[in-house]
Amino acid sequence: MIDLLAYVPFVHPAPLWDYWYLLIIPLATAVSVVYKTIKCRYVRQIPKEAAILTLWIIAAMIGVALGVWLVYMIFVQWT
Amino acid sequence: MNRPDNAHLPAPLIALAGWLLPGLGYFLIGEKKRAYIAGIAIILTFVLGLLIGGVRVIDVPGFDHNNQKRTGPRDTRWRLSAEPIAEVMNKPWYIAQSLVGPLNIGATAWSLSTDARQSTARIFDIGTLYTAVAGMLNLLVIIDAAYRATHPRAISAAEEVSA
Repeated sequence: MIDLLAYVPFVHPAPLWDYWYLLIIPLATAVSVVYKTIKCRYVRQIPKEAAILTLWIIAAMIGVALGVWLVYMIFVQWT
Repeated sequence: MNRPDNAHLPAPLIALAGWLLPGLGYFLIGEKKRAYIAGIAIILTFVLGLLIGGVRVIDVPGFDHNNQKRTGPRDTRWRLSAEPIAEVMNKPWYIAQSLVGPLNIGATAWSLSTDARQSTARIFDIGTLYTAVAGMLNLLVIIDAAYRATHPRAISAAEEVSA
C-alpha cells in the first residue's frame, strides 16, 4: 500500500514485482501486431493473424519455461 | 488493400519519416491503415516500457546511475567524447531505443533531468526490453516502408503469389 501511495507514473517503476510474468502478454501482442502489419496483404487480416501469433509466442515461452524448469529439476534438484 | 499513391517519394525520405514518427513512412506511401496500426503499436510499446520501469530505463551512454557524466579513472575527460564507441557499446540497448526517434530523445532528456533513481533487477530489465523492442520493431517498419516505396510492383507481385 505504501508503494502505491508513493508511486509516480513514468518516474518510479510500476509496482508490478509480483506480476512480472504477465508482462509477456503486451510485449508478445506488440511484436505480433507489428510483424503481421508488415506481412499481411490485407489490413483486415491483421487482427486474426496477430492474435494467433500472440498465442503461439506465449505458448512457446511457456514451453521453453517448462523445459528449462525440467532441466533444472533433473540436473540440480533431483540429483 | 491500400494502394501506395505517393510511391514516387525517395526511400531515404520514407525511412527518415518513419524514424521521426513511427508509421509515418507507411502513411507517406499511402498505406494509412498500416501506418496507424504499426505506429500506435510501436509508440504504445515504448511508452509502456517507460511506465513499467520508469523513465530511467533510458540508460544514456556517458552518464552513470546518478546522471553524472562518466570520466575515466586517470582521465578527467568525459568518456562519451574520449571513447564514444566503447561507451555506447557499454549500453547497447540505447542503440535500439534510439530507433524510436524523437520520442526517445525526449525520454532521454527527461531521464537525464529527473532525480528519480533507476529501478532495479527484473522491472528495470523488462522496461528496457519493452523500449528496445519498440525501437527494433520500428526498424522493421522503416525498412518495409522504404522497400514498399521503391518496389511497389514487386510487393504487389509477391503478394499475388502468396495469396
